[in-house]
Amino acid sequence: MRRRSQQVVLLFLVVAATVVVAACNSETPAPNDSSAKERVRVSGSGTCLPLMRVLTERYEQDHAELEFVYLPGLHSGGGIKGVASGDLELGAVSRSLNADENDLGLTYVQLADDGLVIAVHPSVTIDELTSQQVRDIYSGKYDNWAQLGGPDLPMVILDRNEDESAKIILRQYVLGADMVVTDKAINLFYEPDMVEGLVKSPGAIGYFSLGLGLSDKVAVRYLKLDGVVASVEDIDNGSYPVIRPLGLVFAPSASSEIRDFAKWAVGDEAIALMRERGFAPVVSTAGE
Amino acid sequence: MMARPFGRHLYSQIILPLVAASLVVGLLATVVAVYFLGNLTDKWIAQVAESATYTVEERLATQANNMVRMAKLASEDGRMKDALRAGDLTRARGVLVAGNVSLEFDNMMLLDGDGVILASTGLSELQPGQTALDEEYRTFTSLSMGHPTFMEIAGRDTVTVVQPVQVDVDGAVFILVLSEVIDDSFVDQISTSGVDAVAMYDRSFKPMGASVTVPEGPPRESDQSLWAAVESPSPEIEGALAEASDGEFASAAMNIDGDSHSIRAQRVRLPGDPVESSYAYVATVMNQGFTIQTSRTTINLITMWSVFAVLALVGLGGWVARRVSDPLVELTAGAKRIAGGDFSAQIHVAGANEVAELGETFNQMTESLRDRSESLTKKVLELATLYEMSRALGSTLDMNVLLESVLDSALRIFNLDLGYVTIRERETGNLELRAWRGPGLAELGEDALRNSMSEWVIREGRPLIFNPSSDSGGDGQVDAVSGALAALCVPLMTAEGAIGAVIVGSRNPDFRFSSDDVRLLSTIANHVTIAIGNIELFSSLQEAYFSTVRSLAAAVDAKDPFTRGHSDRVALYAKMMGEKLGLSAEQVTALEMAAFLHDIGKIGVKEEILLKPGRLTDAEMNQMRHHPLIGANILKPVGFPWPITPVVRHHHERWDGDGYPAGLKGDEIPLLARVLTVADAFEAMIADRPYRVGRTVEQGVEELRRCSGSQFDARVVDAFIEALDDSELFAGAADGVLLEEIEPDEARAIFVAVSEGMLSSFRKLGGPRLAANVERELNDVFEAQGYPISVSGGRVSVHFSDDSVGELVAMREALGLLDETMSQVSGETLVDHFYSDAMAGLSDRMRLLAHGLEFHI
Repeated sequence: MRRRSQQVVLLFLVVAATVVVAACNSETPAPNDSSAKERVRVSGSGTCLPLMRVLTERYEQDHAELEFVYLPGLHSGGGIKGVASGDLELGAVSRSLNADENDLGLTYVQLADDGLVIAVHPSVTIDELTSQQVRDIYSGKYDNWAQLGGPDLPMVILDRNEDESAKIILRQYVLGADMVVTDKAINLFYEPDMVEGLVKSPGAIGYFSLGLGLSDKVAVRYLKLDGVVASVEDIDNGSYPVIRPLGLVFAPSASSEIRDFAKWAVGDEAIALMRERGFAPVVSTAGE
Repeated sequence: MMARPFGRHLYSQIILPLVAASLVVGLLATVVAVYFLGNLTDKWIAQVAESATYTVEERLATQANNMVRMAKLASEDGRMKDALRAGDLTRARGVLVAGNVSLEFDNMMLLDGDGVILASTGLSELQPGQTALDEEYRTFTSLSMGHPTFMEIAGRDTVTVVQPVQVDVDGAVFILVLSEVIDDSFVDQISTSGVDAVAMYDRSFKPMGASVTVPEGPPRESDQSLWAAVESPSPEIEGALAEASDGEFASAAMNIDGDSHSIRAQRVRLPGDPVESSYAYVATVMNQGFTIQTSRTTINLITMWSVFAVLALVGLGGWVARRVSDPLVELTAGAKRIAGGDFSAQIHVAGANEVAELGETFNQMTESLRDRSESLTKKVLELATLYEMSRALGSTLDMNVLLESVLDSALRIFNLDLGYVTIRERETGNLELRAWRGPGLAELGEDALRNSMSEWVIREGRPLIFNPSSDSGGDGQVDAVSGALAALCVPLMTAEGAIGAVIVGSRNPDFRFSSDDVRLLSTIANHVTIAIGNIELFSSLQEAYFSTVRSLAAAVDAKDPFTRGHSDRVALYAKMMGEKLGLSAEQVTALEMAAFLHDIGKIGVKEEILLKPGRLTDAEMNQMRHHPLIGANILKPVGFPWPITPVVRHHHERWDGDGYPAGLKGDEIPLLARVLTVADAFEAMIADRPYRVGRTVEQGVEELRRCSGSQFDARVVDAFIEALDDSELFAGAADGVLLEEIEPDEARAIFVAVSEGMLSSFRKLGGPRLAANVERELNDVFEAQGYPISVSGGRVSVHFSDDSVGELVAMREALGLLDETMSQVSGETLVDHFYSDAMAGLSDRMRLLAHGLEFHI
């Protein structure tokens, strides 16, 4: 009889110990592995940065060894210079490298073609503009949408700096190199500012990355340009001409992890991802 | 099995596991509660601190972002750009100053591409021409990146935004610098409630600003202590800061004025700050006192409750265990008492549960056992008493002794003290009280008996049981004889019907007789009946012997008419002597019988010798001397229950050895024979014979004395003389007026006794019908002869007048008529038998007087 009661007490103790141990286990702290990560500072073209974010976010999920740190936008040129000076590890570029930049010995990888879409605030009930009409708007010929068959709304013309890749591309394909932009146009520093301006200002017209617009589902009215819809398909088949190359640069001293990322960024998974998010991926045109 | 005091074993078997289990559970609950609560408190404090830190960080980031936007706005200022484009620094300075009037930054500067101040406004009071921006802060500006950063300007810690200003696409680059000084009010803005203090420290842990939440009410000393601790960082805060310098947060605790405070330190960077070395620390301090106190109070409560619960459980367990074990202990004690033979053990278990039922059952079992044991004991007592009674029944032939012993046994069996036995008299049919126990029974008369329950029982031949009804009180006497309140009466049944009854009773109003008692008393009654039958059988056998002996004696007397009555008288003397000598009743009876039969051998002696008057010749004498041997030979085959043959054989031996037939001497002669010798000789001496007149008693005594020691045993002779002196046999006989002194009444009584004895004897042999015939004839004869005598129902009445002589003659003649009448019916020999029977029924004196009055037949 005594032995049996001892066994009962023992059983109680075992149960108690189990409960306590279980309670302890629930308190296991998360492992601290941040010190092992390689910081990859990224900056550059505000147009390209959204694409970079899409790619790096996916890449980070599978590659904990890399931590992508996004610095404030610098434009394509700043990104290239930053990589060259070693202040950045990756530069986001939304235009081709010029001759001087090519001499820096950096590696350029084109990731996608981004359509530059001309868009208006949803209050402007028109569907398309011709290239001439766009030129006339930016040269200051119109000041009310009624003049173009739209609602009776004063035009708010949003523009970018001349050194911005978007403006460069727009001049290249639509405005022409010599057209003087009207004083009435509001110059915006960054692409997010342009998007915000379009979304918030009735009667506004502006231009920005189709990829950004699609991937962020920006609620503005996208216009057909010369009757062509700005879409990934039309960019792919070349019928929508207003495009700019989105790519990245890295220094010759870049680590193998960064080179692995660059390779992955032009691979199938990345291509599918880019298509899904509204960019038009391309096969890399630049080798090592 | 050892006796355990108070059933400790079962009790502890129930209580100990319960105590252990409740202790373990209580302990476990307390430990787990303490552990979880402590954990929870720590976690909560950590979370509050973390959330506070994040809020501070967030607000810092918001502040920085706002500043970046402001800087962007300012950098796009057309007037500024125009002034710069024109190289008009004075105007640019003016624009700057004017701009900051609305922007209200602590400091605002315009630098050229090399970080040299072109214009400045605000607190820093730096002069144009000074280099305000180091190379590391200009790097990203040269990449046209505007960003916030931590920077020391003119000895003050600031949050600063450096923003490139590009006048034209390819134009010169200027730098706009906007700063907010990090001081207490700055920290106040970004701090949050929920923690007691927020402080910011630079990279070398130098305090930049702090905010302490001061509750409403009078200032507390602890707030000052907290200020002091964060202003000049305490070692604990410094330790936490150092720990957090690797980019993660760190926690620590410190004690301020007795209250424990938790510290959380975190390294913070500004959003989009590309400068590696630009970071600061945010520390939050939180008073844990209240939280810990709450936690402690809760833990105390839980512990208290646990202790209370354990105590309650243990108490409850003890109560339950006691409830279970106590009845068991009592049961065990009860069982032990039963095992020890005490069947009065009763246990008391309150309640209506199984244990109580067990107790009830136990009690029932005990009662049943007690009943059985009692009935067994009673049975054993019954058996023992019955056995004893049987022995008593077999050991006595005295009816009264028998009945008394039986009554005692019965009362002992029933444990009563009231009882009696009645027997119905055969002749009269009346009930007679023969044995009794209990007060007041001895004086009972026949009437009381006639109305008693025994009368009913005897009449019906069935037992009668009477128990008083419970409410009858004390007045319901069921048996008037004994005064019993409860009574049991069973008949004494023989083949001929009930001859009597045994009654036992109790005056206790609570006493009840059962059917078992009836059976038992009936058994006893059966034994009694058998014993009574035995006694009657024995006495009738005895009677038969006596009758036989008297018949034989009568036969001898008939042979020698001269010695008629000789045997009777010898028997009388022998009996007197035997009693005087202190012989046993058996021996006296044997002596008496031998005396009756001592001369039976004379049957074998020729009558001419026997009846020859005068002296006998030697040959005749020899013949005569054979009679003791002949008598012995005659008696030998009869097988009397008494040893009378040797007495008869040797009653003519002499003390000096000169007697016959064996010539025994002194003590060789049987004592009874010696006694008989004396009696025979004495009777022969004093009796009259046809050929001589008997000597007087004195002469006889003289002769006995003379021959004492020679012919007779001297001791026997002395005893006889003594007995004669004691008896009144011959009182007054010495002067020869024996008969004359007899009162007429006594003579009549003797006549009545003799005649009634003869009639009674006749009735015994001939039956009542013949007896009635004889009586009728006698009455006729007496009437015819003119005798005043009548006979009726065995009773004889005489009505003589005062003529005593004529009366005596009449009675003698009446006896002769009786003889004659009976002889006609039964024959001469039988009449002799009747006569001797009647004589035997008389007392010794009456018998002697009857001889004297010549009441012969």
